Order: sequence, then structure tokens, then C-alpha cells
Amino acid sequence: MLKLGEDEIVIKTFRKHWFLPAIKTVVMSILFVVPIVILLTLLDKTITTEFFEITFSLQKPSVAVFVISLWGLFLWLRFFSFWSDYNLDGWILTNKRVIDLEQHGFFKREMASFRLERLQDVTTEINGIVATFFKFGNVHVQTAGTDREFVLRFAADPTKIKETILKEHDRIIDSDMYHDADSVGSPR
Amino acid sequence: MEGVISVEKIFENLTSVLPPLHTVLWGLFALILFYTALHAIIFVYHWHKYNIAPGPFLSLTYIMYFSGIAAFLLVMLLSLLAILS
Repeated sequence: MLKLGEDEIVIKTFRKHWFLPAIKTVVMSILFVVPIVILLTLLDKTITTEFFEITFSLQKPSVAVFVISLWGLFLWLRFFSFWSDYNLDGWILTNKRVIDLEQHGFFKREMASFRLERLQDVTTEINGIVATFFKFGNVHVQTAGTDREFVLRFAADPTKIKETILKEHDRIIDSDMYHDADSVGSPR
Repeated sequence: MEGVISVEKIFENLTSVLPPLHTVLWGLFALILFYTALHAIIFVYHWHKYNIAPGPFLSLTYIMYFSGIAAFLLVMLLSLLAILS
């Protein structure tokens, strides 16, 4: 689990939009059904052309059941690999920083964070009719003094995310703590 | 010219070069079982360690994941027994 500082509290967690797993579920379901439909369509059918004649027969249906179950199991495991990739990604906004968590497959995990006072620019990007309709898109954050750009792709309600982060950023900037630091020469 | 495509024919041809069918199929099933177990361990490890929102959702995901695996493996085992009987 994620370790936070002593006086650090989680304000909000930003996740990817549900549209992504929904589409994946539909695709996986189609991929599971397709071999069954093909099998049932071709079973005991004879295809005759000018050169050859092929009859599709299945004397032991249990073989087909075994192969289809194997295919189903493979898809099931693939789906949950995707699901963990989807669900373990996100941004955590605390009262001090934003933590960017990104999972790539099972064996690559990136965790980066930036302090809210270093935030320079937040950009949202909503591409296409589907993204507009379902309210998802990318959120880009640029911070001071680093070339790295923080991106949350397929974020749910990117405009809201932008507003929330900027609100917290303003709170930090207006807080006494930041002004105290400012008075001893920190850049504003 | 006539050709019959059936899975049984393919198995018949393979039996001439492979060990007995029982050994091959049980070996295949053991391999699938091993792969699935490995996947499950890795999946649970990651979810348990990295999930930022544990709680009922976590156990629900585990229940769904393992019930799906169990269902597919059970059907595979039953069909394997039917093939080999």
C-alpha cells in the first residue's frame, strides 16, 4: 500500500473511465462467442467447390468443449491482466502533492509525484464524439523544473480533475506556509 | 476429391509421433493448471500490494476471478475425462 507523510491526507483519487473496461468486456465476450458460433454453423456441413469437398464433422463433442474452455480460460486470464492494469492506474491527490501511479502489465510499475506548489499548467484533452459523450479524456500536468509531463489517460471527467487540482494548488499558494517560505527567498 | 476435417483425425495422426494420448492430454492439463496457478498468484500479489482502494471491491474481484477460473477448469476436466473414457 501507498505510504503518505504524517500530516498528509488523501483528498481525492482519480481513476480511468469505466468505458475502457466496458469495451474490453464486449470485445472479450465476442471473442469467446465467435468460435462457438463458427463451430455450430459449420457442424455437419459440407462445403463443395469445383476442386474439393470438405465435410466438417465432430464425433466427440467433448473435444470441442475442452478447446472452447481452454480459449475461455485464456481470455479470462487476459481480461484480468487488463483489469489489473486498468484498476491499479490512477492519480491520488493529497493536501501536499499528486501521486501518479501507473501499472504496465504485471512486472512494471511506475510511481511519480509532484508537489502542488510546483504545478505550472494543467491541460485537459477530450478527443472525439465518444469521449465527449461519456466525459473522458487525457489530463496533462506540467510542473516547474522538470521535463517530465504527468499524463492520466482516459481519465473520467477530466475538467473536474483539472478544477480539483487547481483548487488545491490555489489553497497551497494562498496558505501561510507557502508565504513563509516565500519570505526567505523561495521562488513564487 | 473428398476431405474430412475432424479434430479426432488430427489426434489420430499425432498419436503416431507423440506419447500415448492419456499422457499428452493430462500433461497439457497439468501445464494449463500450472500456468493458471502462476497467473493467480501474481494477480493476487499485485492487487493486494498495489490496490489503492481495498475493501469489499477487492474481495468481490477475487471471488469473480477465481470463480471464473474454477468454472473453466472444471469444464475442461470433465471434457478431458469424457475424451479419455
